[in-house]
Amino acid sequence: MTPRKISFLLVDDDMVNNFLTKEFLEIYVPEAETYTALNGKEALDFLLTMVDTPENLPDIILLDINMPVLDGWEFLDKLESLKNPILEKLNIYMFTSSVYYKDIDKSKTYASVKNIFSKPLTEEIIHKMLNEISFTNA
Amino acid sequence: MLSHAKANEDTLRVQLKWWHQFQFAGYYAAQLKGYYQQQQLNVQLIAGDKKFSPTDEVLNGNVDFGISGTDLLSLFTSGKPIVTLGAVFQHSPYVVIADEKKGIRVPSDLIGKKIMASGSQGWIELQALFLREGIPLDSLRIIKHTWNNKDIIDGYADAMTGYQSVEIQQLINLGIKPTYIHPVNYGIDFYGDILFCLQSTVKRKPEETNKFITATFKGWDYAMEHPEEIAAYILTLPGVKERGVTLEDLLKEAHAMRDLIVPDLVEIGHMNEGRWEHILQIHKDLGLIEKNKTIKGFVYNASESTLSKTLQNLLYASIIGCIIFLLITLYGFTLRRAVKKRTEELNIEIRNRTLAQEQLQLSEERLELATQAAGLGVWDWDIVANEVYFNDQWKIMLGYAPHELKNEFATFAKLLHPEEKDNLLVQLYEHIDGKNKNYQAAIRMRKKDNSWKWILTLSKAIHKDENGKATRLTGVHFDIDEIKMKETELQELTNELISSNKELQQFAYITSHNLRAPVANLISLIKLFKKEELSSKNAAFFEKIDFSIHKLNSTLEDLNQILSSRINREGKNELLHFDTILKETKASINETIIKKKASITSDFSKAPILFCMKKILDSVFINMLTNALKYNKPNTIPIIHFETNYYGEFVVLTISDNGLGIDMEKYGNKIFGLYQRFHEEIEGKGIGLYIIKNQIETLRGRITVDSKLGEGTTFKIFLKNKPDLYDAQKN
Repeated sequence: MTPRKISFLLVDDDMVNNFLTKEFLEIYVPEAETYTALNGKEALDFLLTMVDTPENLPDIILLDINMPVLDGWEFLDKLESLKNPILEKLNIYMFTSSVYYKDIDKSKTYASVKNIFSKPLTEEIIHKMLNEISFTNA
Repeated sequence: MLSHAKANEDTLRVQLKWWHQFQFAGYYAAQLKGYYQQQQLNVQLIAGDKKFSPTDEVLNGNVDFGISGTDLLSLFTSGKPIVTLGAVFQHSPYVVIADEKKGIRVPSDLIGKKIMASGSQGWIELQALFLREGIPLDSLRIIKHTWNNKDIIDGYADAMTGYQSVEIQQLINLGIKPTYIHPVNYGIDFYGDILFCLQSTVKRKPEETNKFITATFKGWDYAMEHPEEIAAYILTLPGVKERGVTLEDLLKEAHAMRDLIVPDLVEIGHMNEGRWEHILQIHKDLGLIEKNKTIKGFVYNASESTLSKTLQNLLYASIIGCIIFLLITLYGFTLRRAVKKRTEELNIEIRNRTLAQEQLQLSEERLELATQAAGLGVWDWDIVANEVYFNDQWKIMLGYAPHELKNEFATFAKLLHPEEKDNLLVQLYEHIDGKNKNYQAAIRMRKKDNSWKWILTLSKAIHKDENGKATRLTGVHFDIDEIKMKETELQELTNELISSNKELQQFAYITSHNLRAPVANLISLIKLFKKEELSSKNAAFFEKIDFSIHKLNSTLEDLNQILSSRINREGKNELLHFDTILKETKASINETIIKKKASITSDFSKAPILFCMKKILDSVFINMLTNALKYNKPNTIPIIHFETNYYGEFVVLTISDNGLGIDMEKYGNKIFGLYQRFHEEIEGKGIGLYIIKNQIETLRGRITVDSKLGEGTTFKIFLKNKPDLYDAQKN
């Protein structure tokens, strides 16, 4: 069995962060495929192009909260409002520069949000995410 | 009929004072109308003359009765046995008469003047007048009265005594304009023409005397009512026409006499013993009568004299009276006790009522004072009678003078603010109907200047009918304008604070968040940076960059933690057991406890539970415990004790340790400050106590510390036992 390629979608307007995340993912998950969206809208548009080919959907979405055009929360709201069973199965991890307790509580109200982390992405977090994914996939 | 000849033993002889004129009209009338005859009296009236003195005639026993003036008083007090029976003139008719040409108008005008006077004819009044006016008698030249009016016309004398009712008219008839001085005008007011007799006459003929007096004054009544008839009769008497006296003269005399007799006011003949006393006093004051004299027996008393006949009847009456009195006394004696008892009861009742009334008045006064002092408007509404009362303050509060507002319900209704009017009136009528127990509201009322004033109105139904409906309401109005204004101000301030606090939170959030994003990036970048490729010098610089970035990151994390802890009060209160919390806390740092070999004891028996946010209590326990473990004395087993107790509305958690302690004098006020560390040698961030203090204060509690360097530290944390309403609402 060939290791399945894991795909990530990074939704963040911080270009430096996106660059770094990619770097980290390359180090710790060399087989990863990484996409980038600079805000919620771009991410949503990207995902909607894949509704018909669900196998191409990203395995993990790293979602920032504060973004222009459509922020993290608005993105989640839009996603839920679509009532698409395929999109509802997405694995979303929220990333924020500082974890605000209110944000933690709020994130729990979205079924697709698996967890919320404070930036930066670390090896530890990467392993944690991968473990959860494989668990759910199993 | 009037002649001396007819006189016999039974005849009563009356010596008139002067010749026949209207002066004696009553006597003639009694004779003419048969009043004497009706009393079986035979009366003879003897005309007077300047040769006869009535007093002498009576004293000598020539006549039975006489007529004279106040000179009778001098005679009586000088021992003459006379008694007065009645006075015809209430005011003495004697005057001092002069020709107008002489210019004599007041008593002092008579000084040095020749005056004709006679002893029994007005001399006594004259003396009294002069003495009263302070004129010495020897300054007057008194000459014998000639009773010839011409003598004062042709200058023989300057003035003379005479009758107001007689001589004045005679002089006018002679073509003279007379002036006269009447002693009455100077306070000398004596009786005139007094009927008198000897005391022995009264004793001897008591009934006749009585009858004579009665008939005489009956005659006087008739004469004064029918002067023409009597005057016409007088004209027929001997010597009258001969003196040239006309009917007109007599009627003029009668007219003048009315003022002196005053028949309409006084019963003719009446004498008042008190007035005689007064007259006597004047005599004494003027030295005319000795001070020790009295008038006892001077005035005739009919009842004394006629005692003999009615004595028996009187005695019987007295005896019957006595018996009745005795019976009443006996009856009264038995009554007296009951009355006395009842009187005492009534007295007590009166006292009690007076006391109650006084107290009522006092409490009313107090109420009045209190309402005034408090500036309370008072209103009272008798719903049945639809009578409304507002006190002055009620109106003044609204800028009106008390009279400017009518005491009626409409006054109140029309001054209400439209926003509250309907609701308030509904509340009021529900209160009256008994549906609503309370009537209390903060309302706005229109002032005279059309501005609105906030007023607290409240009331109580003080009288209710059988259906529970109020029949009378009484209430007060309290000016809360200022309070309301303050409240509004406070609300505005609170809103402002809330909004600025929100802004601050937002600012803090954005700061921590947006600052940290590049910092997080920097940390990651450093991690990926190939340090090995740097020259040794650049490697040293890089090391400093690395250190600075981590320091910045750490600060931002603290800030974030503080921000989080601050807003944590939105959590829910729950019932917490102190021993459970301690157990959990110990478990979470078990490794450290074992490593330090710490002895942790507790006593939560006095206050085992608390209703509070778990997060905060957790935070308190973990911070306290880690602090105590961290700052232990070297080579000493840490001993940490937890204890709870009640203190008023608080539960007090006491944590004491035997650690390093803090120099309170040096750091006392800094212990709970941000980034305060007191032990350089031990690693610490210095934000734990700061966060705890903020959290506790958010819950309206407080934290205190007591410490001694090298001995240990004791923290006391006061937590509210139950969240109050305010907290509940906020949460």
